Amino acid sequence: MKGHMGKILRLDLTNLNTKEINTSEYEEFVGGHGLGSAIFFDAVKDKTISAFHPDNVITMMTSPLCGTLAPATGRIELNGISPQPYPTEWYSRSNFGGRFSAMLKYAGYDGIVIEGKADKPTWINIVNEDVEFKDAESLWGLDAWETQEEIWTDVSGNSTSVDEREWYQTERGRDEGRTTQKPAVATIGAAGENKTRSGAIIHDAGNGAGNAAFGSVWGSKNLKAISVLGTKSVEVANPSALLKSREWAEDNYNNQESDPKPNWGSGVGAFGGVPGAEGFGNIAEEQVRPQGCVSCHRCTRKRTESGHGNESGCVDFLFYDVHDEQKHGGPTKETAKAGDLSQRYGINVYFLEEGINYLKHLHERGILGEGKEIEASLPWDELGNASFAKELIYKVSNKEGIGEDLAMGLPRAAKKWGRLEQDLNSGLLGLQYWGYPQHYDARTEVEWGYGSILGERDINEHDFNWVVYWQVSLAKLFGRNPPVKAEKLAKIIKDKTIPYNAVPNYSNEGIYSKNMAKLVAWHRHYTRFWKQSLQYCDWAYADFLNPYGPETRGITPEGETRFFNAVTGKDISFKEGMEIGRKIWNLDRSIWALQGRHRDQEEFAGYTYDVASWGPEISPHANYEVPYYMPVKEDGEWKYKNVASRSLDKEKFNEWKTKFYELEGWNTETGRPKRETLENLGLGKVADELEQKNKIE
Amino acid sequence: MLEKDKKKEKDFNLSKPSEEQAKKILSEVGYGDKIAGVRMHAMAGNTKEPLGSLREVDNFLKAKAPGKLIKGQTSSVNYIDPNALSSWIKEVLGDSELAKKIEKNIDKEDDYRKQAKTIRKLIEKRIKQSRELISEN
Ligand code: SF4
Repeated sequence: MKGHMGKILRLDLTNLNTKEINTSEYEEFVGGHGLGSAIFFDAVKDKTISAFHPDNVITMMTSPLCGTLAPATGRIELNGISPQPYPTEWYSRSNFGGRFSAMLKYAGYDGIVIEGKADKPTWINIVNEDVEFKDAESLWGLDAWETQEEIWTDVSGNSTSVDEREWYQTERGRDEGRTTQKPAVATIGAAGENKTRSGAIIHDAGNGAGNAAFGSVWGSKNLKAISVLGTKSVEVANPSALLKSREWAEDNYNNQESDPKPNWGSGVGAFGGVPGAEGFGNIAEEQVRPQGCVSCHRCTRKRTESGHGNESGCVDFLFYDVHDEQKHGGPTKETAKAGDLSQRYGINVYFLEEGINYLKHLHERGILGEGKEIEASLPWDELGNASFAKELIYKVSNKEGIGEDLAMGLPRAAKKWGRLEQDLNSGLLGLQYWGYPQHYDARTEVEWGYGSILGERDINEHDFNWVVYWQVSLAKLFGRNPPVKAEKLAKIIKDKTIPYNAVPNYSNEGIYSKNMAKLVAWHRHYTRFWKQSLQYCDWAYADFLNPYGPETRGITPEGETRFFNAVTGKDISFKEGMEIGRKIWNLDRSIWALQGRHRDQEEFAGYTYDVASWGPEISPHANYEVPYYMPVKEDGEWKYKNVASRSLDKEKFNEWKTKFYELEGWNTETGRPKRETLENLGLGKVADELEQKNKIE
Repeated sequence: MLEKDKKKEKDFNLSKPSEEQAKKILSEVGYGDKIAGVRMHAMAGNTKEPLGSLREVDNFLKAKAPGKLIKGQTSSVNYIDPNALSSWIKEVLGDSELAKKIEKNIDKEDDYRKQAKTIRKLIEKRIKQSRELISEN
């Protein structure tokens, strides 16, 4: 397939040797997550091993689009058994942006498979086809930024002079080995080295794969970093069609200077936003300039004048902004500094966000502290300054004091403290699905929660969330009309969710309906292929509603297909892509089945069913709901309705699961894929393995 | 001053509290009496923050200042339910007058940004009054 470099690099850390896989052997899975799952399935014979077992395999896969001009596709997908989920360490996924993915392609590889365990700290140096296992004793203990600086210097022949750098050969053509780039390095910090359950993989200043703790798996394999430098090009099947498609996207779906400012706020379309418009959110005022992953038109990252918070986005710094604001009466640079610490130590920021909140509640309730039921020495007076974040991050990353418990992750720490059940039932501990912090709430925005519990982690996919909740609720809060009427939104979503054509009905009946099963299935299949396998970024796709688009319609599904076909020379329809997504989703589901997944385990934390009021109970005055307006169809009428204060009915949710399993062709007693379903998807050998292990009925 | 401005000003008038009231108004309440603020964020979701004093409430509302709220995917709103806030001020801080003024003023607005601005104006006035009173004595 054009867009592929043709080979995947296999790194055997135990024997310190390399092999290659021809990408064509797995071509049906195309890229990213699909490739990763297919290779993982073949490479890991016993799927029940723990995340830290040397036989666990981590895959890092690009897509045919990475390193080309297809917009917002500069990311890389990681798969493997994750130490983060609770109670089972599910096979999981994570993803990061920046330059790594494109650089790996330029070095000639579609992906990397990491196997085995080195007997001492090791880093990998890839320069085109030269792959070297290098001693990382001197890097072990360095933070993620220091490590990258050391490796940049090392790869450049220990020279800081541009002229002496081996790869910087201006007299050579690009395809003969010249590049002006630094190597792209992915590395771990202390949280990964010390095998906490929150170790992230960090690349450049602020790109990280955090939400599966694969950094800790690297730590368990004694793998400190992978550096890659490439000087090749990606062959695109139809460069002119790709350029024209990009222009078409720019002209029709992206913000142009001449466009009138949409009355529903700038930058609110997923695909069509002003580069750098997000700036630093509302955190500390300072000059920033847009920064993006390779090929991105959105450039949602930033470089800051002060240097604090470079490339960090979203929860990278938002885990700390509220504490900073409370301490200083407004946002300061302490938030960005705390974000930088999370990057340097390589620690998952979702863990920090929920962790700090939970610890604070326990502290204020007199349960946690010095000489308290849960012994902990933390500088609470410093909460809001980066020094508090540093102390906590240091302790967790190095398993010191209270950090020893927290390094196990929040669910396991709470279990050790004897608090897990009670705090999950009350909602004091907001871990809604598989021990992951509640990101969006399964009680209101069910596609998020259902997708997470039917999968393996917080989905962290804003495809529907953005248009069905945020834009609507913000408009209502500000006394404005939402961008479009509920009926129109439902119609647009129905038209665009090919081939299931689901409508976003979040009414009390709608959330348990077959239609909601179709919507969730569409979401699972769409993201598995178009986003996680092709690397279309969550900040830009799916694009349902777009202020700049024709009749406010977004670029989905035309855009995804156009770019893909231009790069690969294929002529697939959106529906065909969805079918590949369904296949990958079923393959993942089979891996979870082999790990022991059963429908009975697919239950949310207790508070989801029992507590209508959102968030931890503090006082009677704190139990109000924030407005949560969503489209509902009631008595034949579409409208936006505040669905806050809703808890899920456990029985109805279980009936809904049956509807979902039926739709997917899964056994309704167990929730596992049926042989017939797998065979129809070309996954007969997967069915055979399930049968061998008694996981198919 | 125009008649309508005079009327507007009257809406923000607060009588001077007693010293005892002022102390209570400036106090930090215990965990079980706190109000919550909700940090809403487009990409990150919502988090609930316990707030124990008028100063903390003011800081919280000030932090994501109205007018800067719609900024695409990183837009963020610090939200406190105005009715929950007024009942907290009345029942926990014992300041019925401030609570009533908040209720009256927010009733006129359906834009949370304007409500938040109004609330802050009243709260800041009350904090200033109370601080002055305590430093005088
Ligand atoms: S939208 Fe942001 S995170 Fe996504 S590819 Fe572009 S710059 Fe990277």
